[in-house]
Amino acid sequence: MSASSTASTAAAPIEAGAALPTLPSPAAEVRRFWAVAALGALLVAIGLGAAHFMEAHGHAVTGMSNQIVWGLPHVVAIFMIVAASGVLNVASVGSVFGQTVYKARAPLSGLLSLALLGGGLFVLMLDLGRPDRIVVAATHYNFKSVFAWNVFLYSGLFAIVAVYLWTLMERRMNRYAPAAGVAAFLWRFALTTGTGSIFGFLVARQAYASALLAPMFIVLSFAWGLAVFLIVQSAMYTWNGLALPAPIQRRMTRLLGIFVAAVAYMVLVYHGTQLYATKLHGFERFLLLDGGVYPLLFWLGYAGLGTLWPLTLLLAPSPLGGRGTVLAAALVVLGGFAFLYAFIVGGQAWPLDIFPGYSASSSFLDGQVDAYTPRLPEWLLGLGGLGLAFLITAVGVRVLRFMPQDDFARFDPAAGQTTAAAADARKG
Amino acid sequence: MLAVLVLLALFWLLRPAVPAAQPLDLAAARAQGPCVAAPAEIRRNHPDLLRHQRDLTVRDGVRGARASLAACVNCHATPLEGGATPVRSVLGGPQQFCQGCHTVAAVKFDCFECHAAVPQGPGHGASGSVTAALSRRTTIRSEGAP
Amino acid sequence: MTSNRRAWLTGSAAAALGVAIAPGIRLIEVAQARASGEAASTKVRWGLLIDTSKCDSGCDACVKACSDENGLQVGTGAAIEDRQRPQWIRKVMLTEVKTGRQASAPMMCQHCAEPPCVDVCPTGASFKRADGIVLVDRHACIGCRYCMMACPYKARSFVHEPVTNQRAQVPRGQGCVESCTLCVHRVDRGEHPACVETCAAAGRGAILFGDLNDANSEIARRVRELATQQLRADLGLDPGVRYQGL
Repeated sequence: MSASSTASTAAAPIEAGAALPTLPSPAAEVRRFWAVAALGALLVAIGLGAAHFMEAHGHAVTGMSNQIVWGLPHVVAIFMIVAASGVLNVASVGSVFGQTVYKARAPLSGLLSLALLGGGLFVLMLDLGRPDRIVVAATHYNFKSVFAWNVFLYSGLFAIVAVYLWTLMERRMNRYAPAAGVAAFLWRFALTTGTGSIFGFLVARQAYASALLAPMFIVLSFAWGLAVFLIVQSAMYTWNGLALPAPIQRRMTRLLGIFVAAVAYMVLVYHGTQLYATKLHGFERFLLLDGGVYPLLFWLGYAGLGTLWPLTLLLAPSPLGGRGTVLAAALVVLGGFAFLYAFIVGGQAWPLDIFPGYSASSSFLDGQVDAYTPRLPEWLLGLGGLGLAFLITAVGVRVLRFMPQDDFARFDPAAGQTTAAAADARKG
Repeated sequence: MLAVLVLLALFWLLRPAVPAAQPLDLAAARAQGPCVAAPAEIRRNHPDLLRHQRDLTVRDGVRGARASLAACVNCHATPLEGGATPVRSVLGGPQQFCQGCHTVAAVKFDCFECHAAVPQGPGHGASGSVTAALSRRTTIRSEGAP
Repeated sequence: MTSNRRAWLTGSAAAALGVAIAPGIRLIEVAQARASGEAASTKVRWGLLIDTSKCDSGCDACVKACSDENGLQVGTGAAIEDRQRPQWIRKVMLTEVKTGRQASAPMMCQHCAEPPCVDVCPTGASFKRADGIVLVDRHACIGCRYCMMACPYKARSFVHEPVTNQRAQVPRGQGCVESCTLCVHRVDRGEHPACVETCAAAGRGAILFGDLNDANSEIARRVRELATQQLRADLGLDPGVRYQGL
């Protein structure tokens, strides 16, 4: 290996005393790629099989019903779509706000955005009652519906991110990168506002009719997107024998902490306002206190595992170092799923208040909480979506140069010396 | 090159026979009166005729059109083989009206996932019992041409 | 009393009786079938008036009639749960929380003038016909269930299993969303919805069907004279179904 390539692959100012991860041999790299790609392809095949099973037998094979119409597949899909929008933030902070550290990460962030969006749409479209009618959805539009806008917003994001990646990775197009970055930033803001408004526009539902949901989803996208990015970045670095420089590590750690706190603020304001309305007390009590699995997921999953524990890891100096950040990111992701499950499914489990002042009962579950247990085809379909995102990321990183190419000399003038010493240590 | 020619020849020789594109019970069908249009025109244009009419019927509430799917089924459904009670249907085998041509032409249609394939009088329930074999999976895909 | 006075009194009583009964004779609306080839028009607005005092909590004739008329129970019988079965009309048993007063009412699609289900449908499959009937155009429905999330009345059902043996007048199939069509296939022929007819035949007559835009129709007269309410009127959707006695 030449000295210059060593300078760019060996991490410069890493934390004192931490060992450099071992560089994989080319053969090992290839083996690992094929193993990862095979795993991703297997998960996608399983997801497709589950979708076929659901289409052949109808949604009767799922746990969904006429009361809980959106179940686990939607939880997975919406998490991925919100995270897809948020992961693009990393690139935006570089292109739009001019932070150099993040500029190097922009291509990976763009790839992850495409991968997560692809995976989320995979699950969403295959969960439709008539997935064979996608062409109808693409040709018939009712523009009062957020879903109709989403057809354009989602496909538009694919196109804009593709163009953005091109401006980032094609040297001649680099000068257009800031403009493309701004376009991507604005577009994803519109997209996530649309995602929050899917629920915000449901005027009749106690769980959802709130204008706060659109900005809340924007803030959720910040946190979940960055968390996913940190996990993927850490895995990629480890597999490629790299270590993330400490300053970058610290900045991203602190940023995730700020985002998690911002999410907690939005959720607090949202539920606080709901609790102020007497007519919503029944629903809030169900969701936050005695609704069974939903309060459990909200308090233990989202608040505990997904917010408090990560905050201690992210905002206070942690003895775990880099690993602490990855742990916190994984917890934030888990907390995100828990939050979304309680939000989407819990919001539907509580019955509609059609006759205020009356208690109702009927053969159609009026006035009753609907019990929902996701069944195997739903789990497998969700898994397929995650697998698709996984596959796209693995293939993308292998085929094109998405890995962050940091110019370390710009961070630490002493980088040159440390690098040479490290190179000698490796050769020796 | 030679292999390609041999394959093409095989496909041509082994092509399935086009079934008679008319209802078997010609006399009874003719007794109902003229069809919506001449056979050649119907063969070519029936998708557009049906699609246009369905929008008029569903969206605008226009009833009584000649080009209505229920009217087609009422006339053109032919008796199904087997079963205790004779049942007329446009699906269920290679000689049935809709399915016959569509299987040969390899054009999948999903009309009868929702629409009744069995003629019924207006305002009444289904006449005769149609077995579950008439579900879309088995009829359209598995009942191949002869 | 002289025979003249007796005759006058009898005659007046008979006339008074006739006048009293005469409005009731128009209880069953003689709906006019629309001419073949004629489109539905905004001149008409179909609606229902439900008198909950006449609705017997133990009776579900309307539910059965709807199911038979529309072929709702003709799936393939796969392992489908009750909560997944379609129901276009259901009987709701109500108990007023503070007073304990009980009532029962049939509940179906409210055929709103400003339907939220129409607003949220991405393909425009959920639509309102000119004469006020809210329908699902199953040619365009992709089964996304957003309309089911948006409906304040839980009126819509999703078809969870493959369907065979459909009624020729009521096409329905797996993967699409459906709801009460106000028996549009009957209304267009000049008949009444199945639930209305069955309730009348059962001797209760709790559901009244008619043209809300026709000032002379029974339903328009009743909603003008009696206290009726729309469910969740606070949402401003102007449903075509009104309830009496709640």
